Amino acid sequence: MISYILRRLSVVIPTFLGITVLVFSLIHMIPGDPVEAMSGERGMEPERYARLMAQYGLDRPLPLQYADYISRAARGDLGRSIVTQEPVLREFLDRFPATVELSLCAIAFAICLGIPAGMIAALKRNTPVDYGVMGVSLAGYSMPIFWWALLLILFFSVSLGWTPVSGRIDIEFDPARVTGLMLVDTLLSGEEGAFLSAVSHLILPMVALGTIPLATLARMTRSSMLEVLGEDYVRAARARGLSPLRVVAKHALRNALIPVVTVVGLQVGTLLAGAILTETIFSWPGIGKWMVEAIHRRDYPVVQGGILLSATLVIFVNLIVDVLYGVINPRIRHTR
Amino acid sequence: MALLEIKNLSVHFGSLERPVIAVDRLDLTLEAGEVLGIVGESGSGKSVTSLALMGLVDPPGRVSADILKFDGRDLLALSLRERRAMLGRDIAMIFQDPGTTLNPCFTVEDHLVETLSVHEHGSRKAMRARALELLQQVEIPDAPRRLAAYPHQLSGGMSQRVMIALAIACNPRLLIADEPTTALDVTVQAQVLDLLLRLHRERGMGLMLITHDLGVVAETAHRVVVMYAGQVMEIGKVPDIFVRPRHPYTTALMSALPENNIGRKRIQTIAGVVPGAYDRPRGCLLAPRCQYAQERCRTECPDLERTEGGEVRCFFPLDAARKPDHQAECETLGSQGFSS
Amino acid sequence: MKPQTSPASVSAEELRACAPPSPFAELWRDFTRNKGALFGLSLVGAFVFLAVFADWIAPYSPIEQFRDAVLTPPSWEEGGTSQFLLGTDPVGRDMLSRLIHGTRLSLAIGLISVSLSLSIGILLGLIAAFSGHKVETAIMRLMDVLLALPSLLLAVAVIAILGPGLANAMYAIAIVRLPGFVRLTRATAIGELSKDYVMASRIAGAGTLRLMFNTVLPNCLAPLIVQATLGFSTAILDAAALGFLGLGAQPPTPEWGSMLSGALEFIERAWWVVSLPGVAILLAVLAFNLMGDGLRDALDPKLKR
Repeated sequence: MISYILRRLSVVIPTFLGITVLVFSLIHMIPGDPVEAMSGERGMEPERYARLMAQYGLDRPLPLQYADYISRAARGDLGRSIVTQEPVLREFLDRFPATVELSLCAIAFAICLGIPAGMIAALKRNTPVDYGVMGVSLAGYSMPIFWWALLLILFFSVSLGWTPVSGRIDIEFDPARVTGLMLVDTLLSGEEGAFLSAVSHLILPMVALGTIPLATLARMTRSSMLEVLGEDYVRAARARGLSPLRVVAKHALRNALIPVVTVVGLQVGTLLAGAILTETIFSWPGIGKWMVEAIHRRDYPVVQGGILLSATLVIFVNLIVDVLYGVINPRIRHTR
Repeated sequence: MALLEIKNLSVHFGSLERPVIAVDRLDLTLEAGEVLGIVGESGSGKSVTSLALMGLVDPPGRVSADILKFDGRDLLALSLRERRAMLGRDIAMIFQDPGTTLNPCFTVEDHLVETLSVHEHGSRKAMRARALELLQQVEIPDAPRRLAAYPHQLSGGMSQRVMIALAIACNPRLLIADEPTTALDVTVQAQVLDLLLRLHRERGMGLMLITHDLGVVAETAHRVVVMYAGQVMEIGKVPDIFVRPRHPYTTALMSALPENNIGRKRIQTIAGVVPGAYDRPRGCLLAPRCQYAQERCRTECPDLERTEGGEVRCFFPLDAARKPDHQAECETLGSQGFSS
Repeated sequence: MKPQTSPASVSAEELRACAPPSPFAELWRDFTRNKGALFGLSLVGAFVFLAVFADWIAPYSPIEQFRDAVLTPPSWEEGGTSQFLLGTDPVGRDMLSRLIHGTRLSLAIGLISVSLSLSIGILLGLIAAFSGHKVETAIMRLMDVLLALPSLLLAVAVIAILGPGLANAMYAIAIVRLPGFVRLTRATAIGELSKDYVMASRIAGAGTLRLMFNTVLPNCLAPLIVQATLGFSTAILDAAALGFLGLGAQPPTPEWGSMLSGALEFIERAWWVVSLPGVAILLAVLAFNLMGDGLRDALDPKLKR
């Protein structure tokens, strides 16, 4: 098991270094140079330009700059935002819990609905139930989520007035920040109504963000389940007199979930990508919205740091998924 | 009283309008403690028959029968739950490919303990002891260590032994072995077969041995059922049917055995293939492939007729010299046949 | 048994009658059996038709503004006129015309970005499969790096470098889709390389280039075609998302995503300016997904019979 983890790590580390190179060169690939880009259309006087170049170390040779970048990044220094002058890492960490909360809820939503839906579709293969589940999930899979989010707002917020349109909580509440997760913080604060307010703010973004993973999981679970149900060991289990429920829930599901776990892991990337859109629409103060704003403001240190941190997150989660995959699939654990 | 009695069993797949006939009005009995061989080419309905009697044919497959009795109990009258309770306890089954019939996610012990606990009561500890005992009974070396093994860590022969241990776990009265040795190495085949026979002798189980290998049947079975395209072609006792096959198909199967072809340049084969789903002949199913086929064979389907010591489905059963009864008429036609 | 018929006695017609159908006929038969796939194909056909003949079909120019008809509802709603079948947008442009011209843009984005990533992906994938250890590792690690960045985030990063705009959005999408094609090509090519026909061709003296493109590539095409079809749908979706974020096509280009974002503030007053572009995106993406799924089922030998 340990050697398996080490082997995964040996693949992950070069990938990570590759990302640092990519992110580092980002700033040098911008037409003109970063300082010029920062100055905007007004231009800037030569001495200020030289001072800024020196301040950002941009006048030194590239390999040195890269080494410098890496060593600073390793110490958690990802530079400062040009707009707010705040350290990038701090801005990221401020917003990160909001994205985590949204993403976790979205993936939980997708798992809780998607896996059972896929299972039912597989067990009721070629019945109206199956066609219904697959039709809906195909539509969900093809849905432009920014539009889906707007429809949700139009229906639940504008027409029915059930849920708020934006933000994480009503302004009258101000729970102390403990974990950064609004659901937890409002519970800890004990303020009446705060938790419900947080929930009502969370529901629509969660559904919007969770829809594509939900559809993907339902489709994946169905096909995986169908494949497993046709396996010899399922028939053999039935021939030993095991009840259908036991055969499905224990023998089939466990094997069917092996590929599904990988898919859940891969959804982390999809979620982060989706968070860019969802957070923008719902004014959710997470890293997606933060990065889109940074790009519009040409705040390159933020873009750079944001990309590096998101990629790190994806790599890290994928590593966990790989290890988890080894745990539930004995063949991987032993043979490789 | 017979342990197993089947009358008029049919299994159809496909649509109601154009059914695909997998098993066609099959009659069969199996006495307690008997080894019954079922032989036939692939697609002859051997495996479907066994699945049907286990109640494991899934829709769109349709099973019908006049009589389906096991040990005096009418299986057709039982509820699904009662029927399921018999599987693994009274009737057990082992399959062709041991590499895929064990669940890759569970250990050998998981499999055994689960099967035991479904049908019997007892503490987890007692079950573990039973599991170990079972592994020893199927002659698995180093049994305590194998209990913790996952299926992918076992060889094919070892997996098949585990399957056998699973099958005999609850002392079934009838064991159905569907091509139990086909997927195994030649050296292991004989060992597994010996093991099956030993268990059969020790426990007095009925054994239904499904195979396409007449050689295996000749060595082990008391009686043989020859199936072709879902129909029983011939039933006979073991030395008799080999000494004096009455059905042209049985003879053809035997002359295709390698040991009956020693000294020949080419092994004799049966020309043509088993009729497909939608091109079943109107008359005798074998007619298009039978060298003795007459006009009558092409228009009428013969019934299974009782003969001395067995049953045969043929208008012109072969005589002791392996010539058809209508020898005079077909002298010229059959001159290049397999028996020449 | 019946004496075997000698081959000479089989007539030519008989042979033709029992010959297997040509691969394309078979593919078409399997494909058309799938109703969803047929629906997808006809939708795609309709979109292609709209895109090609947009200039003739659309009643107006997509950027022509009718100042006195701002936010006219669709013709069947109260206040709508038959002059603007699907109503007008906040600056008085005809929605129907913009949507039809948007079809052209979305399909072009799909076509260009998929062709780009497909051709580069095939090339890199084949090089990785054929070349030795080091080149292969280098290519695959690079792809891992690209894969580690969430799709839209990578596209956003590329746009950050290249600047917003329609052409840059296409490049960004092409880069995002690249690792998928490289990995798929490499995996199938490696699978084919171990087969005997490749060895036979090699023994016959085929050079590496010939092996790559004439021998191995044709046998890797089936999954690539499926992936490319599905890639169309994600390309359209991503382009619309970039347009929505203001990073793709810029106004007044009639791109579906940017049409949507331009109309956001009117969401409560004029549902059509927000709903209709979304329906167009959904239908286009759905059409390519259905077609891709159908193609995969028809091409996948595992599912046959």
